[in-house]
Amino acid sequence: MKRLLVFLSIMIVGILGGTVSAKELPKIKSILTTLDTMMELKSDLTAKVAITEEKLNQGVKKYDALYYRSDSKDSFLVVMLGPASEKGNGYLKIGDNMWMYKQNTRTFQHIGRDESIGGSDLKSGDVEERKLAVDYKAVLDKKTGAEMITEEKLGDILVYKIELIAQVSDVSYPKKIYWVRQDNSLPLKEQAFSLSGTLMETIYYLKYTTISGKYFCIKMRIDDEFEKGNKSLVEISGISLDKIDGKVFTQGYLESLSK
Amino acid sequence: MNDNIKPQQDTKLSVKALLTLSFRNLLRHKIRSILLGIVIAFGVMILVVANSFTEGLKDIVINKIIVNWMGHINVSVIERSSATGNDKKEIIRDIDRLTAMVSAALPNIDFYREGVEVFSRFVGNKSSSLGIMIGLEAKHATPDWLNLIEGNAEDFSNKTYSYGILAYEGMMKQLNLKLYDVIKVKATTIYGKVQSAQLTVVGVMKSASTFQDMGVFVEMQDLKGLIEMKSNESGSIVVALKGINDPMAVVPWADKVFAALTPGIAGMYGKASASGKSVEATKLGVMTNRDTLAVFVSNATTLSGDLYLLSNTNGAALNKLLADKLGLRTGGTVHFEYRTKFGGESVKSSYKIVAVFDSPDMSEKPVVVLPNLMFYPEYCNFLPMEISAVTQAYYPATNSAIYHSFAKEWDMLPRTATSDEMMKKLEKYNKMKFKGIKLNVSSMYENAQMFIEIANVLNSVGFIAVMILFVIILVGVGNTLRMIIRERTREIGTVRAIGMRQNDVRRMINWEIAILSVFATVAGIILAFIVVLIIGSIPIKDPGDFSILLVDKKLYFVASLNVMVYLGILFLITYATAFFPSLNASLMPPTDALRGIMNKSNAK
Repeated sequence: MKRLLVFLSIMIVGILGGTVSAKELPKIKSILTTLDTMMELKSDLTAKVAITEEKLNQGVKKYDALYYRSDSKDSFLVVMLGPASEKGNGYLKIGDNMWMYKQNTRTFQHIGRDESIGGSDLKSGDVEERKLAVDYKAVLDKKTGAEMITEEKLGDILVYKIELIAQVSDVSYPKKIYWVRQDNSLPLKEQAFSLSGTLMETIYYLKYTTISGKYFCIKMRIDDEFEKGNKSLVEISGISLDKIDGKVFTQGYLESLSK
Repeated sequence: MNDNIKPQQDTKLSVKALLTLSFRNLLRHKIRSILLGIVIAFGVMILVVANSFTEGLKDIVINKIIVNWMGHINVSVIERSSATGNDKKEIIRDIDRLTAMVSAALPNIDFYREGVEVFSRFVGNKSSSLGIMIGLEAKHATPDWLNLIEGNAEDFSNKTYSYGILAYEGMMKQLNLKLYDVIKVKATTIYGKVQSAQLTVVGVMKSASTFQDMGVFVEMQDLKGLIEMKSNESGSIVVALKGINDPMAVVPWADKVFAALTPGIAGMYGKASASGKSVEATKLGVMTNRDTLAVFVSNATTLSGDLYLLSNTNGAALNKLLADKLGLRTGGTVHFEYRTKFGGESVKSSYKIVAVFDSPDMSEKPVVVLPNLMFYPEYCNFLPMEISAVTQAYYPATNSAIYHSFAKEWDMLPRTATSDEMMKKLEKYNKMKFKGIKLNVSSMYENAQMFIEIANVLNSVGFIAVMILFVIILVGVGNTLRMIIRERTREIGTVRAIGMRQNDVRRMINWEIAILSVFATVAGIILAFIVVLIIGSIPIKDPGDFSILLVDKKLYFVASLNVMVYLGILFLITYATAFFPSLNASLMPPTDALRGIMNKSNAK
């Protein structure tokens, strides 16, 4: 469930508005602002998400869900389609309120931003829309004071490696490193570090597609670096940017799916 | 019969004579007496074992789980103080001050501790597990309390190892660890950041239950550092009282703590400045809900601007004295600087002035007033010295009209009587969007009413089940007695014919039953102790979910004086069972009895 919601919060990336000079390294702030702009979704979104979780000594688990999102209504709905134990359960957010729906008891539980989702260590606040440019700033070289940005190659693709540090106190990861394409700023790889500086996870953005001028990451892999061997593969399909009926973002709709 | 038991005309038999006769009769029918005694002893044994078991369960739930976990009394806080939405924290900012207030209200404290616990994921040798990191002060890490199997408690206290921890044997097994192995831990700080660390196991403890196995002790200051908690901060205060056996007895003490934790007015004493001028001043928060702000406004004269703007702007209001000293008016900017209580960190802020006011209650000392939504984030995150302890600071008179308009150091959540009420209360305040500090006092009764009720129900169910069993046994006993008396009809006729009175016959039979019951009961209790010793020494290999109700993976029994009451009831039932057959026997005419005729007539 955690992987699903983390992925859902970052899967949309628009086409880069501008380009940067190949010789001059861009300012990290401008890259973050570009990423924030690309992540803004003007239209509604419907998609089907499949997650394959592989955990050490626990085998493989598969999750399927339908995801509805409307930024204009400040709402989203996640309806679990599988596994059987989760089928029919859902997470509904309307404005500042978020509920967890349990299909077997047909009850809604109000959950706060700081409460765990589905028993995982994910807090519901983690799936809020956050602005990278607000939450993070560039790490500066201790000697030169220059921003920690370098040119690298991921495979054959030229990327900028940018190192970020949190500038607000309530982010999950105090330090992150992104590898973004030089040509269109799409993130290809991300590393997240704990407060003590330990690498906790690496995310690989494996495949993008474009729909109505927006890039969507439709395949990504998340490697758990803390507990080596755990990994998740997230695949997205059936993306639609059509307007979603307002009734979808209601408790009644979620209940009606169980009948 | 010999001379000393010969009945005398018109005098009843002495107790000694009856005892002798009763003993003799019991011994005369050894097999019958032994068999009947075994049946009664068996019932008593079941009663004692069942009672000890349910008392053991109750003891585990109350004393080994609830008191260890939450104490008899628990003081906790809900704080919302961040500028962002994800701001709920359960944190006490000044643990020493609150602890002193709690201690002053409780003369019967056994011990108290800070409650700092963090759900964590541990990774050992090719295995991981969820668990709880529990802060333990080094001074409490004594060998007798820890019940160490391996390792050295001093390694925990003297910090030979960075992040030396004490783990229970169950967790060690789960993570495939041995002493001095290093494990990785992942947790979340109080600000929501992911944290990780490497911990070294310096001691392995024997666990009493699976519940304990989940806990890993980390030195208190180490743990606070890991989760971004300062040394003056804590999660909760856990208080254990002396001599408490009944959870309900804790409630009045919790009420005393509640009464003792009356908050003062929150504020900062520091330096206000503008345009090169500065003056010592007090900064207060005013509650901006409509009614409370109205009280403040009605007790002040607005000289410029609008005090109601405090409800919806990020501005400040100055009293006339401060505005005059700094030469400030509405629209200007005031700067304020103060030092934190812990660490003496300098905190600087600037505010746009939305109003200047005068008030008879606030005319003598310079004051800056902020809306509570602006005030609390700074107050909580940079705790100042309390203004009641600073003589130069402005502190509103407690009987003044505006006293309750100001932001308090904390708000007390109302006391609740039941778990259900407490859950609803906490749910309400967890949902509530406020800025400030809500302090909750709870007793073990409402913290764990459900568990206590389950334990009581277990007790009652156990007792009822045993009573039903015993009644069934007693039906058999009663029937046996009737048959015995029928067999002894001629004997009864004989003793009646030689002069024994009806009452003496009845008393003799009753004494027989009483003697038999006493001996059988004693035998039953002894048998019960043997059974308890045997059952209680057998480890249960795979108890599953019930492991939480075991101690050392064995069934746990506690002897209780309650069982004496139950035994008394059983004795009465046994006596009543024997009463009517013995009455019938005594009422038989001697002639009928001699002929072996029973129940023909009850005529005297």
